[in-house]
Amino acid sequence: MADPVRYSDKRLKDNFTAYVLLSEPIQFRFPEIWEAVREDYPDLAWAFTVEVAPPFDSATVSMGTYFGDTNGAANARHGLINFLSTPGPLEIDPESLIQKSRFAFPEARHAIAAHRSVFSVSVGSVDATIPARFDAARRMTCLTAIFAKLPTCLGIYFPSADLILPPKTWVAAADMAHKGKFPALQWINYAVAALTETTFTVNTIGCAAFNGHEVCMPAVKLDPKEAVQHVYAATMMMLEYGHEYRDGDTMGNEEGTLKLRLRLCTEGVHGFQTDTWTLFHPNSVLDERETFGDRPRSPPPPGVDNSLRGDEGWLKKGLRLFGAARSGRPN
Amino acid sequence: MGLFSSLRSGIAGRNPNDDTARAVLALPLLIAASDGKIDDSEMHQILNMCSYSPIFHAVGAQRTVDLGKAILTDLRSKGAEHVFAAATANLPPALRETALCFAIRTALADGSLSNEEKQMLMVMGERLGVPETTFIKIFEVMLMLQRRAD
Repeated sequence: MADPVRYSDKRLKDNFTAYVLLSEPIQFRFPEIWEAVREDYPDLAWAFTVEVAPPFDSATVSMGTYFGDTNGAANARHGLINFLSTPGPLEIDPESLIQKSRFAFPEARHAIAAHRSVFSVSVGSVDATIPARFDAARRMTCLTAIFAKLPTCLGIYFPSADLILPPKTWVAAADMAHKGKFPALQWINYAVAALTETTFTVNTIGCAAFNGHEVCMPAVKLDPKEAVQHVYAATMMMLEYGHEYRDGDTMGNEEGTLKLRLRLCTEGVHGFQTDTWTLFHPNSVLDERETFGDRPRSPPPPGVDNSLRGDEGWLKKGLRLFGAARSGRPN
Repeated sequence: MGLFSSLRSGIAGRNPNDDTARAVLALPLLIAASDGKIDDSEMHQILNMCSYSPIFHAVGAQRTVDLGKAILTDLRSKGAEHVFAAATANLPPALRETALCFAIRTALADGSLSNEEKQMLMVMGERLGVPETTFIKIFEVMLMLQRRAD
């Protein structure tokens, strides 16, 4: 199959990768790791291939590629797992990463400065559906959480969200994902940019890795915490409740006192790198119609309620179906 | 170089508060033992210092004393290098500075700094990944704390 041309589509083909930052190099044999993930995260039905590879040593150039099952490439139930290390610390722009991770990991600067060794773990997904993407992300998170629990782990860098996170937070993400809950605060970065003292833009980094779309609330005069809550709710509606937005939809609160307008901004328009659901709050500085033009659909006639509340168990159901389809038995 | 198997077996069934307290306490004890012995007054002084720290409040006074004794046993049977490596492995970044504060204060407790103590503190700082500027700041504050009245 040809590689996708659009970046939004490419995001759905990317492997999920995390970098484990360590205070000293680590050496292990893969069977030890398979045993540890089966022990700590048994519900994920791990079935690794038997291997006779040399030990992995993060102080050297080491690599290992494995299937998460015994079916081989043609019938893989889960994507490929790749381990890779190069000697020395991770080469990253620390200032940008520290800034983006300032709420999630105030001690990120120390972790980056103190780490002496790093290796990465990547897991691919078998298709681009949200359950398949979630499954790949959680397998990668659980695999790396095994290392995050070690006293020599200083932090985990997750490039999909451009975040560095404390080991404990990463382990919490693995525990949550293991239970079929979406660890949104670890897998997605809710980035806040101050335009003035009172005007903020909030945008997600990493949502597109699950459904090809980011979410943005542009230029709004609102407490940034509240703006983040709206963006968070919009992402969870899609990723955990399975909601499919249409251009021009509205999103509101239970009381019906607030209505946010959702407009679809396609990749490349208004400088967006991926397809983006743009949330317009009544306090938005931008005019939605001026920015995006007329809405494609008319409001429902009086007395007709088109509101959808989403399905709270949508992701868990999707994961059960995904597991059953991959294994040929109920999961 | 850490071995996954030993690092993982080391965390199984352990109390994280206990591990942290033991790791922080190991550094001042290593400093106190750098002249080859630790007398009761030095031990008493270190335990007094611990009484102000929330790290040791979390485990309690008796457990702190027990941990101190266990560290000294390890020091005699396995050596300083083993005790220091075990402490380093259990210290998260921020607490490495805290442990170093305890170590420097212990070194300065008698009002002077021997060459052995000075050398050991510098090695500790370096191996804990504490930046030199931070190390100097800690040292200066501890000097202020230990000033004499005369």
